Amino acid sequence: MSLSFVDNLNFRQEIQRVESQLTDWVESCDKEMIPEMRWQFMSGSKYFRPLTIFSTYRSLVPELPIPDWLVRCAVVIELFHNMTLVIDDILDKSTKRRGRETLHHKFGELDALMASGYMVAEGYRMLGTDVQAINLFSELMKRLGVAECLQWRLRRQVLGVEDWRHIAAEDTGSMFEICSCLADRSGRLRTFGGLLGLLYHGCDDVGDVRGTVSLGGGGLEDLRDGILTLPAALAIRDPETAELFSKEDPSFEDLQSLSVAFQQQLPHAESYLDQVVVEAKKEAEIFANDPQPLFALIEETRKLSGG
Amino acid sequence: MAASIEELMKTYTSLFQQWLHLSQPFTTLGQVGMGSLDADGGTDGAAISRALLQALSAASTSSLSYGYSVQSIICKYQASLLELNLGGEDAERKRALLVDEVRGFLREIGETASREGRSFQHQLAVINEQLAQAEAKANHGHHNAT
Repeated sequence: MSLSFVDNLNFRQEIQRVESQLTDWVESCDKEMIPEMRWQFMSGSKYFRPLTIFSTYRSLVPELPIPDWLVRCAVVIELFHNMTLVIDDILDKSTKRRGRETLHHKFGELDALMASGYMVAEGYRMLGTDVQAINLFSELMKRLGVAECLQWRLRRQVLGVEDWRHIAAEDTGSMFEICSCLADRSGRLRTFGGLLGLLYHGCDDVGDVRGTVSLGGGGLEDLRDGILTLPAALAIRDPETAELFSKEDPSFEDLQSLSVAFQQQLPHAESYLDQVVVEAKKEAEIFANDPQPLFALIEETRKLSGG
Repeated sequence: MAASIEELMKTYTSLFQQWLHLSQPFTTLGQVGMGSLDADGGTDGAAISRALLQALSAASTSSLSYGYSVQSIICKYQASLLELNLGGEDAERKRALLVDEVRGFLREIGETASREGRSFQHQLAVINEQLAQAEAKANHGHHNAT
């Protein structure tokens, strides 16, 4: 773990506790699963979701240390998050993630699918008698499943920014919403979590388009699959770009033209994300006892677009 | 808008005065069975009046804040519609922009109502808790005194 934002948010010790529990858990898995789990969990997570859980807690009870039950929730959210990564990689036919081979590419689809189920089952087991957390994770699983189907069904369709917002809110937004609710069982920071997830999703979309510029590769899967990203939703307001975007089998030249059109929308996308920042800060200001940890989290998330 | 806010404030004030009037018999010093003496010898009547006043203030602020938020959203979207009308873009692109703008406008109006409602509810919950704490303290003082 050498991530500056973990230090910026002042959660180094807590993230070390999460890492250590994950490592212990990996080594306690069935020996058939250990190689897969080692591969998946030793690939350098950003730990944004645990950081969201911890920041939410600190914004409500700044005077108390992060309790053990919350660290356990953070470990479980990492298990669920990794399950979604494995499934996404299979769907997108991605061969690499974070510069390493994806789980299904290294071990095969059967192993990857079984490993993703194993993670979820273990997550529920770890929650023990925390019924409220079990309900929250169940809500998350259902919403993620629906969002994935929705996103896939709507690909290549000429839709608007509001549609992107709805998909992003259900996809990444639901994950961060649940993170906030795990720490704040009253649910008053739920909307904050949703907005933070929306911001994260949008910054990721923008960062991917930027990656296409500098590395010649980032976001290529989304481009090829006709996924409605924020820059795409802005760019396809143009009828010619919309026509290219909705092509069932786009040529390499089509993808290049789309990539250029998306890049041209980056300033608009950045300005849209700045608006989301304002909304998230307003929520934090109204509903947190001390909004500072949430402001810091918003700032760190905003940086992810690379703008 | 200004007239309706003024009307609203009058209604709130009159309601508050009625509440205060109706609760007065129970909040005077030494009421039997009400535990009205607190540990410092004060009355829990002050806590009740304070809670009502705070609730009135929260209701007024929330109404005003909602009104101004809606106004500011309308102004923001009017400005972008104006910009859209002045821009030299083709009709199809303008239509796509317009649809997005109107949908964004409707969402923001709804979200503002929800946020204000949640915020007001949160403030009332805090006032509620403070009153409960004051009452518990007063009861505790009363039991200790007897």
